[in-house]
Amino acid sequence: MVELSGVELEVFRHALAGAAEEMGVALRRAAYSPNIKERADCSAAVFDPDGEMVAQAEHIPVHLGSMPASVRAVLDTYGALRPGQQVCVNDPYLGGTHLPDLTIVAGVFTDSAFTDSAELLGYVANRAHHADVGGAAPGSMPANATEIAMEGLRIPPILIADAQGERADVVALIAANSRTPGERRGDLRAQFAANHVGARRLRELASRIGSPRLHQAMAAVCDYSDRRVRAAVRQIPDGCYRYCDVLEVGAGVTIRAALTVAGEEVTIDFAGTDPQIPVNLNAVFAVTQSCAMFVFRMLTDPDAPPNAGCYRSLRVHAPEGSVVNATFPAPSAAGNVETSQRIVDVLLGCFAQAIPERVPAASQGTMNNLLIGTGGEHAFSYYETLGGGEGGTPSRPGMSGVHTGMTNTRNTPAEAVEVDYPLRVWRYELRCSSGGAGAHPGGEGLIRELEALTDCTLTVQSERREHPPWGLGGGQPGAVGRNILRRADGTEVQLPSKGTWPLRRGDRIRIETPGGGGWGEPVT
Amino acid sequence: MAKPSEACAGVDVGGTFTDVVVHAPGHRPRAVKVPTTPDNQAVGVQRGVEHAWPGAPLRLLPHGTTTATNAVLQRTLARTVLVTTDGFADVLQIARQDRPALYDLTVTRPAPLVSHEQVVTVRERMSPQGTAVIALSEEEIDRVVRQVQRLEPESVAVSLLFSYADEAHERRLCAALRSLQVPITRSSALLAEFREFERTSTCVLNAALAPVMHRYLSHLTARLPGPTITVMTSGGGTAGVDFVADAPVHTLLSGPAAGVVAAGAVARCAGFEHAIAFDMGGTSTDVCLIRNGQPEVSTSAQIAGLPFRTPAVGIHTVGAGGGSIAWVDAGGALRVGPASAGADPGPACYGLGGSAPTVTDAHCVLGHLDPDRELGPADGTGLRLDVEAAARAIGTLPEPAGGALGILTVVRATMARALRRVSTERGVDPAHLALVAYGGAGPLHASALARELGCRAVVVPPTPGVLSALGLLLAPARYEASRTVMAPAGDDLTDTWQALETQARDELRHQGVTGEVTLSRVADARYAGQSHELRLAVPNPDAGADLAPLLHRAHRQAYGYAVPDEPVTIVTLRVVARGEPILAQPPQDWDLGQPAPERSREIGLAGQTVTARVVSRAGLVAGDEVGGPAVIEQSDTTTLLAPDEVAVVDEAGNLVVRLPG
Repeated sequence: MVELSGVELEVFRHALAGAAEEMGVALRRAAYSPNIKERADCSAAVFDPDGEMVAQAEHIPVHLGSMPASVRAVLDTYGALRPGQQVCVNDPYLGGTHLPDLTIVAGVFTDSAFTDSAELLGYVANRAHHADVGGAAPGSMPANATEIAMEGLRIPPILIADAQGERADVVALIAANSRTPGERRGDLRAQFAANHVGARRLRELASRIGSPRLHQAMAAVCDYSDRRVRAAVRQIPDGCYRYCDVLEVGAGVTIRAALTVAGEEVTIDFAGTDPQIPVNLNAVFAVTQSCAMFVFRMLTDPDAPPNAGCYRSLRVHAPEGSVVNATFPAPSAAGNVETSQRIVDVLLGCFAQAIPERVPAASQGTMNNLLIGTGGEHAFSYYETLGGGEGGTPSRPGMSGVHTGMTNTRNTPAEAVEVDYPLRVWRYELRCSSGGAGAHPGGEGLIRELEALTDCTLTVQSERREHPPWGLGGGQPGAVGRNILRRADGTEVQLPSKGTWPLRRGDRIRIETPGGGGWGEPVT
Repeated sequence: MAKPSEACAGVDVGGTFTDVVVHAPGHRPRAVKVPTTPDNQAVGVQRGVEHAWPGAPLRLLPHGTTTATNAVLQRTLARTVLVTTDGFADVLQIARQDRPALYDLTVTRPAPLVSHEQVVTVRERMSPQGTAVIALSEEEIDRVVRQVQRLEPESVAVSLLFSYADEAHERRLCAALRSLQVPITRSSALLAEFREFERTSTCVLNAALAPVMHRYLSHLTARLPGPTITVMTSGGGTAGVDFVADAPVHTLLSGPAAGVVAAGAVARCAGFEHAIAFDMGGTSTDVCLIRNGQPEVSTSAQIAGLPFRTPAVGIHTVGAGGGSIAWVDAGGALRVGPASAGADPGPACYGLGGSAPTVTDAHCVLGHLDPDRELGPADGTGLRLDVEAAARAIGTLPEPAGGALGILTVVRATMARALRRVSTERGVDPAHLALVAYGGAGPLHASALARELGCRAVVVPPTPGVLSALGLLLAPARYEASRTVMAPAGDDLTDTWQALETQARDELRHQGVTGEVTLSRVADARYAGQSHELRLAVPNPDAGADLAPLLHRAHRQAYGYAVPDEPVTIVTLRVVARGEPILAQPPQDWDLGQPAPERSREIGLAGQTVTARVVSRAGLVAGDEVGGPAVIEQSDTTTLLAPDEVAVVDEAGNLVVRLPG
């Protein structure tokens, strides 16, 4: 353990966090896709020379544990990176989460001139959700995928820049596999720019305090987070707590977890969870780990600087080949966005038995992924996730129409949707009485209704259409969500929770998102 | 007619004091502080003016007020009804659907200013191209007016979808709603820009403030019938009282905006075109980037979690200041803030019962502050610093925490991060910037911070305690007309430019601005498909000039690359009209009172105890040099110099500390 004074800790914590944040700002500002810019579906982080995360800009919880996995995969493939090298990866089975999330990792060296004598200071990495990376449906999350090959371009760690600069051939390959190649090039450029910013900041810090001191500081901030989190874990009663919940596929896919608290250590084991399925809801281990980290952080010390130290007291086990630790060739597009939400619910269910006074009821438990697009001359790719009801918490009612759990992306304004896509937004309102009753009621879900102004393809990926978000401590469950297709001729059909369908001009899709569960006995 | 023939007084109302700076031909500038009267700020304003300029007439009174800010923070707002398009009743509740904190369950979103029950929806619909998809019928208008009337509003906000593209529906509704005899805010008149939540939020804030501001300005004009009163807007310019009464949302950053306007003028007059304004007070610190002598203006501000998109100086605020309390957390790190000792009991060294260690206490035990100096206004009620109490407070921190020096180091890290937010994060190299330090605590930290960031210099103006009031005299009348156009860069936008120019110029004339009005054009642009716009200054008034090259340049500066073969979208056009300020530059001949004789004192600097010169600012004249280690004292602040730093007094009376590149 490295000893730094309390003052130095605070100073270096600011400096490292500032570098990560600055990367995030650069990425969002320079990116092309609304996904990244309006919705901030991206992350940025700084790593030490061994690939330990030392700071992260917090945008999207699901990227928490999966950014380190990407850096690990890159280092395992290439060894330590050399000056100028940047590596791109999206392969869920080799450091990624789902194919649209492209991560770019760069080494940072004392000398920006890329000489081989330069000393490695650490790594910077950023991840952005690209709106389309090919595959069977616009948006690269086809609901009917049975294997990952149908979901788009799979990129194992590959050199995308070297000492000569950006590798045009690799960028061209990625762009060529997307329905919207120009946007891909723009977003990749923004990712390079973000790493550039982070590297510059880290180099400045090293030149000010020296690289040995920088590395001590990196270790010390991780130790510091570890101490803070352990202090919080000690407050949780020892014991083993179990819970399970289901995904709405076929007859139901069960996710089980056992939470063991022993002193300062927490172990989460998903033994007993159902095997992976030929449907895109498989979560790779990095996603499952992110979920565990999210819940752990929320219920221990949410304020501790986000770095590898926060999770030293946490062990996660998941059976290989299960839906929470899927292996090739299982499709995984929705594991990141839907299964992740259910894993959170299962873990909250476990913690609710240990510390009932601190755990909220289940939130909407889905991201309500909505993808509309088409290829060809008038290609477009609209992707959006919809908020819903937050579960009531021990201290307040749940928020309404809000993103919960593993995401926090912003909406796309109707006035932006209609300018950028051949769509019309007819309704975007709260869904009355969808929140579960309780002393602290669950928040309300949302209703969003869009009309297709051209023939195109619709994909919906949603959950909690059959099994409602549960209440806690006597609180009632929230309402289940509904997906309704209204054809141009006025006929309405209720769609299942997941699927891909053709849309004709004039058809409308209405998504009603679930309400949150209530917390505590309702007051009558 | 640039020079006023009579006296003018800038009056800035702050949380504790109301500051008045009087400029009158043939007189030295005069500054006065009187206590603020929170219930009705007009009382304090009147007292301050009478105190500063007794008996004589004033011609102009530019005013900085926190009336709007306080009303929002305390939610003492008018009962407001929102009228919006059918299907979008919950636009305020949903906001952008994100939650304010990812992991902290105790944090929730602010309640919207208008509840669901106070929203009335209208059957109508515009397309992005401004054609009616669903026409607005006369029967529908009648129904809406009746429904709004039943809700008994004190003010009404009208914000329909795509009203920026065509305002016809909003106009017809507002015309009918006038029969209710309450203030009406029309979104397309206030802010003809896209993104429905932000436009509606701005519109509703305005409506909820309109009756409040109306009331305040009538009090003020009744108490001060003589001078023409103008009000500082968030964008860094003044506006007439009639305009502000109708559009009070423009005043949410009134006071801080005046401060950064003055900081820009001070920097320029000291020879620095680019700077950061650094205003460190008791509980918080404001920083703002200044380019070419002007504070950076953006349209993405918020107050208490409620966004507004009217032009606002790009101030970034951090919750740390002189009163911030130091503590050691569970992981052993020394933290400073966000808790503050406030004004009551204040830092331990004030001797008013405070016992928690604060930043000010750290300065006190290190000898940076004069233990014999009176605090507060020099009216005999002041108190002296209690160094022992400060030392006791610092002593409550666990031994390895780092003590007073540690507290200052940590607070500096917080400040450095704030300063990077407004410089490096915007693609601006601090090596081109001077740090203009003001507020009670700014000059104590300025040179150490400037060195950490690599700034060129530090500038401390002669009167850092009344900079906002001075800024009121330096600010031009300003009005910004804007319209979202969503056009390719090659399009001929002459008609829109001309319409905006006419609108902007007419508005200033309508507000009573005489003399020269200068117009500048700004275009918000992006590459087609991006959704974050860059604000481009458009120097060339040629009709139809292609704006794409401007975006390429700005994009390269901000993000390090440009894409010359990519199509460019012009999102919003803006025309800014400016009148002439009362003062072209800061006054030079301040009366800073009687200087105390030079002394010396042992002070702690960077872990060493050194003997520092203690110099009275009042005794310094242009050309004087003070070499560090030194403490330069004046009634409203203290400037600290390290051993290798030299402060030079320039012609305007600024202290300028040039730093090694």
